[in-house]
Amino acid sequence: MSDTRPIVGVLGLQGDIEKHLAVLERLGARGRRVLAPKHLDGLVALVLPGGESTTMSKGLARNELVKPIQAFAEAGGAVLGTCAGAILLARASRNHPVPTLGLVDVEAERNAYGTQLDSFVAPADPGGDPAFEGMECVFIRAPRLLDPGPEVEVLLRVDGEPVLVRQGRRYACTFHPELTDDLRVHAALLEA
Amino acid sequence: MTSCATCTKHGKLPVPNFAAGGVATPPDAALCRQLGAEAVFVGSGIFKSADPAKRARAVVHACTHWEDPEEVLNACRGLGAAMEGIEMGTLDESERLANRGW
Repeated sequence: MSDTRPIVGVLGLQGDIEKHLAVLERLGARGRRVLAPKHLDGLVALVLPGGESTTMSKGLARNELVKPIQAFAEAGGAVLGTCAGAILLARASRNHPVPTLGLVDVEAERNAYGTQLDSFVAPADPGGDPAFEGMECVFIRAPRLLDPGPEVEVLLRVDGEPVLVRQGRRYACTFHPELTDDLRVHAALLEA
Repeated sequence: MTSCATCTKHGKLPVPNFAAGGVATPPDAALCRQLGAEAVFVGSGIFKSADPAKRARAVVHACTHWEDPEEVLNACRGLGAAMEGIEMGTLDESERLANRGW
């Protein structure tokens, strides 16, 4: 019997790849590591995981993935970037800027809450998108999303700051939804 | 005991495994990944080779594309000499790991 599950890619260069693949499997999708442009063929969605954004940005260029990922998103492919992945999706980054993909109209401030020791878990502010109400958000050396453009919808905030935003079928998330049992962010990507 | 039980249940460590030691070629790094390491740490294998910058890039490439034998092979081309091992018999007694730090 052929496998008819939708295939979702996870950028496989560096970062929390395995945990994202595990969440996608739990949601009934088939995960695939994306390391080369050919791995984008047939994907319904792509996850850019958290990790280290300088490493990932260099890896995107070295493996000739920048233009193919931009083309995937521009052709309507759904994309979720978490933490470092959100930095890569932004139109630009600040605080030791790295080249980004420019797929979501926000600016990302790297290490915006401080060092690794300043990592924390916090509940989302009330009054966000009801689909994500009560979400516990894990922030690890997290970025901030600044100056969202007119097409960007802020879905969740923590302490008043945007932590989950959407622009069409593209989601940027500054926390790590793959580290809790709350699968709603990934579910939204699959339904996007 | 809890950690032991966790490893048995999941077939892996509860934290990422950084492999290190004696990795001198891109396939060495790919092999570590095949054996289950999430990351590979390379020091001397790069700095004691003929062209460290080129070899560092090649090791990263093989570590990333460890499941693709062709990419691992490509990473091996044009690197010059790898780090050489040291024959045990040529080491001074005092330089042997077993005698150091006592």
